[in-house]
Amino acid sequence: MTSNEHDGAGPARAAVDRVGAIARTLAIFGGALMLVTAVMVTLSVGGRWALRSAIPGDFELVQIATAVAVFSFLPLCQLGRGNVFVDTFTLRAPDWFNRSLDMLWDLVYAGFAWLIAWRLALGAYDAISSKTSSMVLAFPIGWAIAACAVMAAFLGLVTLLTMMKLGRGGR
Amino acid sequence: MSGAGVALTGFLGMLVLLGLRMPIGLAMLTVGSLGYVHFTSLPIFMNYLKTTPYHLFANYTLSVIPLFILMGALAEKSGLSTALFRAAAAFLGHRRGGLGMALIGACTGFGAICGSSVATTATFGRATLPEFKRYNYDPGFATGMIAVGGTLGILIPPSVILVVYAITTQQNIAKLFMAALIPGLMAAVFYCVVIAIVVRLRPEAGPALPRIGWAERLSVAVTVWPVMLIAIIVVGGIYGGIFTPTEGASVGCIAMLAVGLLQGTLGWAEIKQSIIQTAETSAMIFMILLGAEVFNGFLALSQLPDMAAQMVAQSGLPGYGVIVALLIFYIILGGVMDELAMILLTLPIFFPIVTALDLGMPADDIAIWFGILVLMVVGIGLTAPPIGLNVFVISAIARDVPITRTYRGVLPFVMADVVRLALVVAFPALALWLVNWLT
Amino acid sequence: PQVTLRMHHFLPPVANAHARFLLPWSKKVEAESGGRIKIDIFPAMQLGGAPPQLFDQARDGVADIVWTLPGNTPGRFPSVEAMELPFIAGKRGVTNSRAMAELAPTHFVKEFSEVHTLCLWAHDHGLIHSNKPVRSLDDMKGLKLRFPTRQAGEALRALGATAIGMPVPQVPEALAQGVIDGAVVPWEVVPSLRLHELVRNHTEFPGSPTLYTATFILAMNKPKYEGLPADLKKVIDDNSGMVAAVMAGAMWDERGTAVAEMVKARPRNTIIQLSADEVAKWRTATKPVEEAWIKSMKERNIDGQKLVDDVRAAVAKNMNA
Ligand code: NA
Ligand code: NA
Repeated sequence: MTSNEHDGAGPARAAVDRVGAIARTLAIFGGALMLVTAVMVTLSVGGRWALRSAIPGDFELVQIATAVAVFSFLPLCQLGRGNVFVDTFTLRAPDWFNRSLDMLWDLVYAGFAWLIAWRLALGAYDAISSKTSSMVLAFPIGWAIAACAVMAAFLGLVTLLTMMKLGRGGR
Repeated sequence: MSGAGVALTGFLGMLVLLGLRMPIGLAMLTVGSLGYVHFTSLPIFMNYLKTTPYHLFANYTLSVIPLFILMGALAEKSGLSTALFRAAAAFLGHRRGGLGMALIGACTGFGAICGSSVATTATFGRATLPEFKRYNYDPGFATGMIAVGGTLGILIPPSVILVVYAITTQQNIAKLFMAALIPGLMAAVFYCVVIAIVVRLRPEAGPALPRIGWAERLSVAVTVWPVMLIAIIVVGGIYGGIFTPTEGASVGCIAMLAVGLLQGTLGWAEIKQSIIQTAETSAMIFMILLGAEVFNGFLALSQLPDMAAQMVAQSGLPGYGVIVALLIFYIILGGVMDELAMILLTLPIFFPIVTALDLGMPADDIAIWFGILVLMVVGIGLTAPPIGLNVFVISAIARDVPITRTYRGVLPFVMADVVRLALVVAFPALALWLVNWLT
Repeated sequence: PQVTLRMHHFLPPVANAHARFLLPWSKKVEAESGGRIKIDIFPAMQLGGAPPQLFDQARDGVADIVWTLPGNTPGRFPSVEAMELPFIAGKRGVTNSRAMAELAPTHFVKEFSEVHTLCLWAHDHGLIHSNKPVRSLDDMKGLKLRFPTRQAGEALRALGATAIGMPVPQVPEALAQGVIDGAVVPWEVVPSLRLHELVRNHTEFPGSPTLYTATFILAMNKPKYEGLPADLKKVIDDNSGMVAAVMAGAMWDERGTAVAEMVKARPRNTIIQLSADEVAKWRTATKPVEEAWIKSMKERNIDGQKLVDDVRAAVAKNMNA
């Protein structure tokens, strides 16, 4: 999302920019996590092949890293309007109509994001209090779920901002 | 209203929402949630949400998706997928439609290291669209070819869809990969034939490029050695017994990174861009997977798939009739829903029916053959309107090309797919010969 | 029907546990209720979620009944691990299942108090399926084996193998590609994972105690159970505990024997029987696993030693039952 587009009043734009920067940083953190995971897996494969000993828990680390990384990707995707939709049937509809629809769906998405954040937070609490941990490394997965809950809440915020931006005439 | 009635209403409602620009993952999530609540209760659905999003995304099999996308992004940013395309173009570009055939060739090569059609589409969408534009290809023809070429990502093994099929039906993944090879290569050939026919009918759709001399061809061909090397490492590693697809994707990522760093084509800026691209594409796919998961639960609760299975069982159709009916059903279903969701939902019900059919071959052979047929209808569903994921991906990249033009560009390829499907239905040996010969 | 119950589990409908245990059990309950209870089975996680969530789904009412392994959520249900420690379980599924069912009310059910426990049981002897023959402890060195439970993983490590954790669906592929050399599972699972096609060697432990077992639970949503009218509750109760455990254990034994025969008949597959002397070495090598587990239970205020002793006694008591 470029900031030189016309997207309305100053303070709102500043907020969007700041949140956008956080979303970018978050996604880069997630991508870096995937890269680190790829390094870990490569070392594990190499170790298993050459030394007959893999990194313990490589499979479950991949699983945890993927979940955390994907949640870190969601806000950036929304910010860039990357969630695909069908525009075939509304190509000739007036701009205000399409804009209103998009704002409505943003609102629904924000609602789901916060719902998921709230439910995941409870799920994280359950997992932490029941001491549920990963199979090999006994990593308490509740903390990974908690991190996902926080990122889902941030996704809701981002989605609300993209809606406000549409309302002010931006894209 | 009966369960099936509710499910059909849900389908209809989802189509309306999709027509009204609702993002596809969100539409499935919304309708799926309402349906889930209808068949259970609000508190139950609330409890369902407590861990489902996390555990869905923490699925080992699905982890290949961001990794293959990251690998593709690194390949693209370090100029490797472009090199692959340029090399193919150097040999084929002077023909009319040759650039399109080069795309198909490059997708075939990339398909051998990539298991995801979406990743393949995204990679070549970014790498080749500027080239198609430069040489005045018809925009809809170009985006259509990229969407179709992207399906080679799954049609040529390794393939995420076959992995999911193997897990759901407890079949041997290696055998399925082998079985997919001949039909996959057939797809590449058929696509090139379609391109040749299209440019014969509409020469302006795919202009020829200036012919290139052999010396230059060879010098371009040499630039693709890193891709070849990585393909050999990744494919060789997967087939030769060194790693799983997720591990292959990880090794491929690291190899790609190493090549880019050594060649000086990857810097911090390019790596960052690769990550951003991976983030956007992966997030889009996983949002759809989340929607599909909830929608799936809703459909299972409605028992619609059970009823469909019973109808098939009681229809009195002959064995081949059932297969054809199922494939038609899949093509229609694949038109309106996510393919991964479709096979996850229906296979547990259809698979036992299919393997019990009297088709004059062993149940094990039927299982492998049917897997390839499912893969092929998935390939069709990925590009066929109204919901073709590959078309969405390419539309997200080529925002100036209306989605309807892409669909028009895709159409002749879909017809070729149907012909190929009919061939593999009529001649199961196309899928089974290699498996039985090698094992 | 007066009550419809949704049963949820992670295996496909072709699996033995579905077709030969959960389905007949459900039909039995339906019949004994005079058609007033109907059980809809949703296999292969059709209602959504991943296997580790099944227990919570029963607790939260997402499903009314679930079949799962306590080991799917490691660390959460520590006490049943006593049965999963190396060289505790008996050879037969009926033995282990009866022992579990007997001890359940006094020793295990407390940890599962968030649900109504219909039945706890354990499968028959697990064995080593590998592409390299395992005839002695030395053959285990560096062998890459997929382990089924956390405690079995500890045991394999103590035996010198490289214990690799991966989800079950990954096993056939990982084997075909040489990512792992083998897997440790009971006979029953062999055909569904096509292990007999992927590896040639199967190492059995003679008699009891055997290398390991894994425990299972059939759990019901508590409010759903308590909301049943008394006579229907009785139908459920009549098919809970020992009744269900024996049904399950017998199924594993029957399939285990059948699969072992099938594999034995394949000319290229070898079934290796370890000698009693050899097994003694294996038991010594895995003793520290048991000691470490008992110590770790102390940190959770659980008397691990008593659990181990009582499980051993219950297994011994049911050896020929
Ligand atoms: Na592929
Ligand atoms: Na589709």
